[in-house]
Amino acid sequence: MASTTFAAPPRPRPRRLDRSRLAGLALVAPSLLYLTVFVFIPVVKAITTSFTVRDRDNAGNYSYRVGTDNYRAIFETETLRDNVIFTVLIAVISVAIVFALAYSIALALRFGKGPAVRFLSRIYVIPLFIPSVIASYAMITFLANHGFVDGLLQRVGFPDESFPRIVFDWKGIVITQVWLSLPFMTVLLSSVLLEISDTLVESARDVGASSWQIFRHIVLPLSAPGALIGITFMFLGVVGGFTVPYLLGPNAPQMLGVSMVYYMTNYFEPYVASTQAVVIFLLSLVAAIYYVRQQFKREVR
Amino acid sequence: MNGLAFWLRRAVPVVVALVVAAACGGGTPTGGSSPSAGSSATAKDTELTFYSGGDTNVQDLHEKQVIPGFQSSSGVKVTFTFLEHGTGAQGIYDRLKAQRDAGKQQWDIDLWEADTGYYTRPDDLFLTISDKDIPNLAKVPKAELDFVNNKAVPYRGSSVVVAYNSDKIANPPQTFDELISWIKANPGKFAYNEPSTGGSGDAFVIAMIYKYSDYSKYNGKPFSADNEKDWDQAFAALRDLAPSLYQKGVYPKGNAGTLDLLNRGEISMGTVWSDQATQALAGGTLPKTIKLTQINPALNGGAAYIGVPKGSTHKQAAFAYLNYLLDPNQQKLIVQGAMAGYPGIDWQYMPADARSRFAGADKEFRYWPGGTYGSDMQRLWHEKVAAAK
Repeated sequence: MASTTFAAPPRPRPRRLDRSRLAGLALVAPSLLYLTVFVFIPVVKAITTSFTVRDRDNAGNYSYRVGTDNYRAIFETETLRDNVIFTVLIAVISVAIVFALAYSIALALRFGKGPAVRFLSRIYVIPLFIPSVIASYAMITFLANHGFVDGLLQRVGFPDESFPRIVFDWKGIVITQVWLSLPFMTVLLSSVLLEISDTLVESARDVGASSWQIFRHIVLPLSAPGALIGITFMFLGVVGGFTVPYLLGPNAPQMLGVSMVYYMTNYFEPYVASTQAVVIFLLSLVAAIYYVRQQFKREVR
Repeated sequence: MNGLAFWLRRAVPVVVALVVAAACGGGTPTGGSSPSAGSSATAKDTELTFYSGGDTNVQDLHEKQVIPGFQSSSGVKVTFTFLEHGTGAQGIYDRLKAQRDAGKQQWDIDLWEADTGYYTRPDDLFLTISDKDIPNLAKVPKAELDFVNNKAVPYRGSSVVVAYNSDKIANPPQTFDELISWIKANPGKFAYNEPSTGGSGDAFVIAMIYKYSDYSKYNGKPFSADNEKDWDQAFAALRDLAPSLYQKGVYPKGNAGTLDLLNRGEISMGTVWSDQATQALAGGTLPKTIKLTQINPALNGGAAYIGVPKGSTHKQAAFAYLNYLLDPNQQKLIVQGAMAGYPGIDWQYMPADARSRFAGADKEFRYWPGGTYGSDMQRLWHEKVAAAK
C-alpha cells in the first residue's frame, strides 16, 4: 500500500526529551544541593532548636524539653522585646533615609546635566568598595566625641561637650548604614530610571506637562517596582547586620544580629539565639515575599 | 556546539558526584577517625590534641614558643586548635560529655584550656592530677589547685588592676569603696568595658558582686543558683553608678576599648588587665603617665588552667606537655615575653630577672569561678544595668 511509505518511523522525540530533562536536572542539582545543605537544613535546625527549652536546677545541671517558652521570652522579656523593636526601627529609618537620598541622586544622574552631575556620577560609588569593618572604625574616629568632626567644631568656637553622642548610639548605626548602602541603592535606582524612555518624557513635555506632573504620573509609577525591590534588599541587609551595630551601636538596646551573637557565645543560650534567628528570618520573609512576587510577575510578562 | 553539549552532559554528573562526595566528607565528624586511635598506655605517645581559647597572645605563647620547643625535645607532634575568646567553649564541653555518655574509651581531645568553671562541673569529665604524673606541679601554689579541686593545672596568671592617669590623680583609690567614691566625685572620668566583651569589665562587676555576696560562697565551691539571689543589690548599685561613668554610662567594647579611652585621655581611670596594660605600656600604645595599681580587696584575676579529659587518648604526652610548661624556663617566657603574665608556679622558683618585672605591683587577686556564673552575670548585667531604664 502506498500509504505505508508515508508511515514515518516513530520519532525519537520522547527519548530526547528524557535526555534533556536529565541534563536539566543535572544542571539544577548543584544549586539544589547547595540550598539543601546550606539553607534548608540550617533553617529547619534553627526552628527545631528554637522550640527546645533548657531548664536548670540549683546545682547548674540542665534538662531539656519541647515548648514555646523561648518565643514567649522574646515577647515578654523587656530586653529581648526592645531588641526586636529597635532592629525594626533602625532598619526602617535607615532605609527611608537611603531611599530619599538615592532617589534624588539617581534623578539628578538621569535627567541632570553639567559638570556637577558628572562629578557626582564618579564619586557616589566609592563607599561600595570599602568593607563595613573599615567604614565602621573610620566613622568612630570621625564622629566620636573629641573625634575629628568634634575637634573641628571646637576649633571654630563650639564649646566642649556640645557635640551630640553619635558613636555608641543609634545615630551611629543609621549614619554608617546609610553611608554604606547609598551607592548600591543609587546604582539600582539609576538603572530603573534608565529604563524609562526619553520619548515618553519628551512627548509628555510636548503636550504641556510640567516637570512635577512628569515625575508624578510617569517617572514615579514606572520606577516604583524596581525601587521597592531595592528597599527590600536594603531592609534585609540592615535587619541581619552585625558589624556596624556591634562596633557603633549602644550597649542597649541591641540589634538582633548583635544580641544573637551574645546569647550564643557569651550567655550560652543557643536556644534563645536560635529563636532570635527565626525572628530575623520571619522579618526578612515579610520583605522577601514582595520580592519573590515581583519576580514571578516579571516571568509571567 | 554538539561536542560541547555532549561534554557538558557528561561532565555535570561528575561534578555533582564530586560536590556530593565533598559535602559528605566535610559533614562527617572529625573525631574518632584518628589513625593513632589504637595507641595503648604503654606505648610512647607520638601525638597530642590540644584545644585552647583566649586572646591572641595566648595563641602566640603556645603556637610560637612552647609547642615548637616541646615538639623538638619530646618528639611528640602537637595538634593545636585555637578558638578566640573562648567562643564555642560550651560546644567543646558538650563534645567531651557526649563521648563520655556514649561510653567511648578514647576521646579526641587530650588537653583543654578553658574557663575554670568547666573543670569542676558535676559531670566530672577531667582527671585529678598530681605531682606523681607532673613533677613540676609541686612548685604550684596549693590554693590555685584547691580552687579547681586538682582537676586542672594552673600555668599562668594575670589579674585586673586599676589604671590611672598619674598627671591628674596623685593619690589613687586604695579600696573598692574609695574607687566608687572617686567615680562619683569625678563624673565622666571612669569607664569599665561591657562585660561580655572582655574580662577587665567583668572584674568591676564581679567586685561589686563580692561586695554584696560573700567571696567565701564562690571560692572553691560548686555552682549554686541561690548565690545569684544576692546579685540584685550589686546590679542596683551598678545602675546607680551609670550617670557618673564615661558619657553617663557608655561601656566601651572589649578590653582594648578601655585602653583606647585611657590613651586618648577621654577617661582618667579604668579597669584593665595587668598583662595587657603592661604590654601596652612597653609598646607605647599607652602613655607613660598611666600607672597601674591594685585595690584592696583585690579585683579578680586568676590563673589560666589546662585540664586533661578523663578519656584522653594520649595521657602521657598530655602530662609531659604540662610538666614542660611548668618548667621555670618556659614560665619565664610568660613573665618576660609579650604575655606579661604572672607565672603558674610560685614566684620563689622564678629567676630573679623574671621577678623584677612586676616589682612593687600587688600580685594578689581574688578568684572568679566563671562558667555558669560568668554567663549569667553577663546576661543579667545586660538586662539590669545596660538596658535598665
